[in-house]
Amino acid sequence: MKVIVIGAHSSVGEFVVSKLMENGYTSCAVVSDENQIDLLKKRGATEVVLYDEGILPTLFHGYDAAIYLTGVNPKAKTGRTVMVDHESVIETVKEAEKQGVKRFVMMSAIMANEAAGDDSREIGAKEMPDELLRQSNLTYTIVQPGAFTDKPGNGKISAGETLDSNELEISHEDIAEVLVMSLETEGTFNKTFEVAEGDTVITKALSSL
Amino acid sequence: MGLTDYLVIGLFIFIALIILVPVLLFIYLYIKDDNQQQHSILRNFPVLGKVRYFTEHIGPELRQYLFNGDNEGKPFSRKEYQDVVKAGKYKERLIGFGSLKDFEAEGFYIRNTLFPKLTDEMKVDNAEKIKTRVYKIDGEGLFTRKEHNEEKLADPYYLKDDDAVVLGESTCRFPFRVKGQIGQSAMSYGALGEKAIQAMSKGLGLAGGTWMNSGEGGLSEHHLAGNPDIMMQIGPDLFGVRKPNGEFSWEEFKKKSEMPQVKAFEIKLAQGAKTRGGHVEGEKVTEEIAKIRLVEVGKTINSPNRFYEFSDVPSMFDWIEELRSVGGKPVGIKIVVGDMDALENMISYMKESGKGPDFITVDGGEGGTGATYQELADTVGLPINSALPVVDEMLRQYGIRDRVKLIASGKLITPDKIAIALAMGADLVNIARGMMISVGCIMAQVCHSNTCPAGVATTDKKLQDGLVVDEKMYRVANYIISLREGLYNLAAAAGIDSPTQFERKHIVHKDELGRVSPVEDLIIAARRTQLQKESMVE
Repeated sequence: MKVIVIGAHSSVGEFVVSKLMENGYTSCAVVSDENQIDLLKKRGATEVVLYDEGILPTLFHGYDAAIYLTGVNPKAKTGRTVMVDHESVIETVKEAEKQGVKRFVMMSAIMANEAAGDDSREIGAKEMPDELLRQSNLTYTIVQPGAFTDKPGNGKISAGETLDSNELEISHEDIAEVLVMSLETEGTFNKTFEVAEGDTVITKALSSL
Repeated sequence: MGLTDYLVIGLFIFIALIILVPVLLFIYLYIKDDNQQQHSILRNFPVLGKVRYFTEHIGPELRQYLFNGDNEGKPFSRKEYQDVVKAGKYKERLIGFGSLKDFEAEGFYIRNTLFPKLTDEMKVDNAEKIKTRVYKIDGEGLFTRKEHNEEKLADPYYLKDDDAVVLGESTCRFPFRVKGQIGQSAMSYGALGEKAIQAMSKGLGLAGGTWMNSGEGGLSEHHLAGNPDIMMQIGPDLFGVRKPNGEFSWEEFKKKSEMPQVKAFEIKLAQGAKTRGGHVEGEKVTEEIAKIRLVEVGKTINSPNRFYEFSDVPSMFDWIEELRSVGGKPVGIKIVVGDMDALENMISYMKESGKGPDFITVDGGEGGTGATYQELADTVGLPINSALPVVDEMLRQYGIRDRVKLIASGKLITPDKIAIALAMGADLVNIARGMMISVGCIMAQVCHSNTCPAGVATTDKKLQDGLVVDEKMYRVANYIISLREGLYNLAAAAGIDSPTQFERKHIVHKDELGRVSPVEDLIIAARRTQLQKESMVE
């Protein structure tokens, strides 16, 4: 399976790229800066593509799946990476659909479907791309992770439609593995779920969703 | 007798003790000190005098903890010390409100640009994460601090492959490529205990992209414990590469150079610390030390303050050539800059002959040492910020700067100090005391006495019990990583995308009156005396 990773130069993206290589996938990493090409090649990307708006119409040619990390938006310039540019998600999803991608795995955030209580729309804005993806014809998976930590992954999580607890955390490495494992785990097809660190092995947690 | 009587008697004894004990002590001291003939103050004022001696004794500790300001205290201020400890323990360098530095004083400043580099424009290699441990504070009370340590994947902040600093690139069969600009300065096993050396070795091995200088006491298995890249130092006493009679052993040298961990050799010329020549007491030469240093067990060693192998620049260069051809690895020299004529002599001969070292380690006069005489430590050799730009400039003038790499050392324990050294011409930086602090050194300043309370600069088994290798190794790794990250922060502020690109133009010197001058002025000032001398001869 050939997988394209959009937003590959994020802390999660780097791990996604290495996990794809470890699991025998061919990957294409989409980055926003020339300087990042080296890094992602080292991390195991088969191909690295520098993003600019012009490449979108042909970007997905020949690829079977896409992993989209909303935390990093290739269209927004650096420094604004937290914001989700929903227009760019709309475009990307439409293009992926048109160019024959079958699987679309998107990393969103826990509480994406709740509006933020304050003036910031950072979380609230994430609802829109999620909804849009659900309405597309793609076989989607929307993963909503808890807060990220720098801890090494231990390959164990808890996953479910909603997880209760106020402090949900997950390491960059584990969430990356969840995204990669979701690609071919049927239990995750057309589902939206939350993940955080837990005691179930990732593949098992995903297939029992 | 009833209960009340017992209580009354008890109270009476209690009060008697409270009054009696001090009075008896007072009388004892009075008689004892009044009769001695050594201290005049104690003869005249036996008790008050005792107070004087007592406060003098505990003064350093009181000053360090209570009376010195955060920016006072030598060799390192409380603040500088804490900066190292926090980087190692919490991997944290954020501060609030503002700097505590004295901005009135003279010093170097980094010239920041109006448009700094963005984080992802920096040329940094973070592809391989480092699995380390950091402390997290759970809660802090007046007398307690609850904290735990947890695993963390850290970005290593390596230089990119094409920015890597290479020693001996065009001269050696095995050039040494380093992907970080900060390494460990020479510290021998023997000067430090095995646990401190092991903790550093493992920490440096974990951090990667760095190196460990063995010190002149030979290469021990403790240095190799964490499998870091090793720069083996050879001092005039030739420990580790000698025959039993004290001659240089090519056979042993070849053995060492064939070790994959050994990446380069450093010849230590006469310098501040050991201009006096070395001396190891026979009782300190244990079986292990003897094996590492290749000396006889239990026999006192007096080593010379200069190599027998060479006595001038041409013979030294020939020896270096031979070392390089036998070992195939880069060979450098470690110097302290004092005599600029001699330095210029050497550099002009480098140009003339096409020979010379692959790198020069410039040790600032403020550099630390385990044991030396106060007069040598205080006044021999120029401080690093004066020496470094002069060496750099001389190499440039003779057109051979690209042939030789410069390593700087001398109290460069924080990213800003390192960045300034890099801007002054250093390619790499060595740190010794920063590493010691990260394995627990509290600056007790008893490194020469084998009684280090932190178990760092001692071979005493009991004192070393306090130092847990598997805990301290992470602090060393975190410290190195933090320094490298800090260098990238400063490079971004200066508008360059890698700390390898620091140049003179990125720093200025500000004097007490606020006047700002470029580094070039320092070089001119340092060489003015020499130029005046030359014109007088003419």
